[in-house]
Amino acid sequence: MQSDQPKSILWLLTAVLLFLLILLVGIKEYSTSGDFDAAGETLWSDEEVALLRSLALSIGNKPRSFEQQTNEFASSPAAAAFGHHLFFDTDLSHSGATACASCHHPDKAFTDGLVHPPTHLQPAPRNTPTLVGAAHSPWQFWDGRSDSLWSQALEALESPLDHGMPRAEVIQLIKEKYRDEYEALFGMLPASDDRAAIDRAFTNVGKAIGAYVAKLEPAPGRFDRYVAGLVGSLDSDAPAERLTKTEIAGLKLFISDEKGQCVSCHNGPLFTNNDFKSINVPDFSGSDHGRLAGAEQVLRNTFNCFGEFSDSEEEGCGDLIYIKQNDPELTAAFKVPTLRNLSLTAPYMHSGLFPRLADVLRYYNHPLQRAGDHLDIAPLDMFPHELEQLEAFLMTLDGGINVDPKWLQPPENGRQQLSSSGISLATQVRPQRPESPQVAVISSQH
Amino acid sequence: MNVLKALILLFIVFSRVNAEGVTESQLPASERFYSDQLDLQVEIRAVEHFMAINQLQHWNVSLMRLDGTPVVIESLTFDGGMPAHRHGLPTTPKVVVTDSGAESGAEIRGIRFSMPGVWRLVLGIETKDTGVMLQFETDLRYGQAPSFISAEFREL
Repeated sequence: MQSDQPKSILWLLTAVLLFLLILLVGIKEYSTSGDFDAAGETLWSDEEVALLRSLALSIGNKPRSFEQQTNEFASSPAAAAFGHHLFFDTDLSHSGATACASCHHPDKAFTDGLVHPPTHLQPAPRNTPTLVGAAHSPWQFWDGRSDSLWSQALEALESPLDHGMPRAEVIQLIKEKYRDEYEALFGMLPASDDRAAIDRAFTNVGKAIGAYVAKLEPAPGRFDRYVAGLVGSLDSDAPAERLTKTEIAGLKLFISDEKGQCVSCHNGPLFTNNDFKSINVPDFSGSDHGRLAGAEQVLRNTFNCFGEFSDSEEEGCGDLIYIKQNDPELTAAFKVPTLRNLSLTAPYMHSGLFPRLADVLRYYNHPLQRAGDHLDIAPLDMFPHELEQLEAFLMTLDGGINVDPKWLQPPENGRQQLSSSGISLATQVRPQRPESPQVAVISSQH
Repeated sequence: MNVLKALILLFIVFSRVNAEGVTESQLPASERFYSDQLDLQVEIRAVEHFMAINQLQHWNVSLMRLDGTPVVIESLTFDGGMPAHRHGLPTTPKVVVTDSGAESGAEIRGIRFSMPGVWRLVLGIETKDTGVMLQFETDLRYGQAPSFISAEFREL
C-alpha cells in the first residue's frame, strides 16, 4: 500500500493540471466571445489580436525601407548629415527663398499646414504630404510618379513650382558651398560641361536628401503601447497604456468588417497599403487624373528603379515591374496616406480640402457618388458619435517622430539662409490636437 | 512523471499559441483544387509569402490528372479582384509558361493582395486538348491561414 502513495499523488497532480487546462480553454473561449469582462477591460479575439499586432509599431514589425532598394546611401550617417544641410538650405532654389523645409515643416510632421503650397498655381494643386515614414512607401507624390525619396527630391529641385533650380545650377551651388561634404561621400565634383557627370552628381544630391528623409521614422503612439501591453511585449519598466472606451470603440469600428472597413486600405504599421484609391474627393479642376497619369510618369522617369542612376538590380524593382497601369480604376486615384501623426498634418486629402479630421470622416460617411465613377469606398453611414469614436482612436496613432531632435532643426553650423519670413521650426516635436481650425479658402484652387 | 511533464509542456504550448497567433512561416505555402468531372487537379505554390497580405509574391502553377500524372500547360491567364470592394488586382502579374517535361507548369509573378478580405481569382488554363477555367475565392486575414471558401472548374 505504501508503494502506491506516490502514484496516487501523481494522479492527483495530473488531475489538477488537467482541470486547470480545461479551465484555461473555457476562459479563452469565454474571453473571445465578448467585448468586455467584469472589470470593464476590453477583450479581443485571437484574430483581432493578430490584426492589431500587424498595425503596431515596434512589435516585431519592421516595415521595409524602399529607399534602401535604390539608394545605397540611404543608411549612411554622413549622407544623412549632408542631406540635413541641403534640406534646410534656401540657397538650393532659383529664388534663394525656398528650401525643402519651406513646405515640409518638422513641427507639422513635415507638412506645411496649407491647402497647397502658394507657389503651386497649376489647375489642381495638391496638398503637401508628410515625409514621416515616407521611406516605407514604394511610391512618392500623391500619384506615385516617383518611386524613391531621392527621385522625388530631384523633381522638386528642378520644378518651377518648387525650387526651380536646373541641375547644372544645383551642382554649381554644391561646388561653391558643399564641396568637402559632397566629395567626401561621392568623389570629385564634375566639370561644368560634362552633362552626364552632372546628371550623376545631381542624383547624388538627391540621394543625400533621401538619406536624411529616410531617418524620419514615426514614433510609437498610445495605440502601439496599448497593443504592446496586450500581447505582452511591453518593456518591463514601461507603464501599461490604456485606451479610453471611446478610443476602443473607435478602434473596433476601424477594424470592423461590417462598419468601418478602414483597415482594408489603412493597414500595416504605417496604416497604408501604399495603394492608390479613388474616393472622389473634389479638387475643383476635373483634370487631375491622379494615378492614371502617375503610373505612366513613373515608368518614364529617368530616375526610377530601372534607371541607370538607381542602385537596384532590375529584379529588385518588383513594384515597378508589376505596376498597374492603363486601368480605369486608376482615374483620379490617389495614394492611400499614412494615418500616423494626423493631429499635425491638417488640412487633409490630396486637394487639402478638409481642414479638420472630422470633415474627412463626415465625407467618408457620405462620399460624392456620380454615375459612371469608379469609387473605392462605400458610405460609412455611421452615427455622429461613431465618427467621434473613430476620430478619438485615430488620435492614439500620434507619436511624433522617432529621431533625435537635432535632425528636426536646421543643422548646427548651418549655412542655410532662411527666408526673412522665417520657417517656423520647433525644437521638439510633440503631437498635439490642432487648435481651432480655420476654414480653408478653397475658391483659390480653381 | 512523464505524463506530468507532457501535460506541463502542453499547457505551455497552448498558452504560447494563443498569445502569439500564427506567424507567416507557420502558414501553408500551397493549395490544391480538384475536379472529379474533368479529372484534373491544380496546385498553386509560392516559395515565400503565399497568400500573405501586402507582400509581393510569385506562384508556381502545376496541372495534373487526379492520379498525379502531369498535364502540360500550353498557356495561362490570371486575373482577379475583390468583388465586395469593386476593384481588381493592385498589380499587373506576369505569366511565364515553363516547358521542361515533368516539371512543366506556369509561373505567375508579381501578385499582391493589398487588403484583407475575400479575393476572387481566376486562372484560364489551356492544354493541348482542352481549356479550363478555375475560379476560386479566398478570405485573407492577418495571422490566419487563407480560407478557401469556394472553387469552381469550368471547361472552356
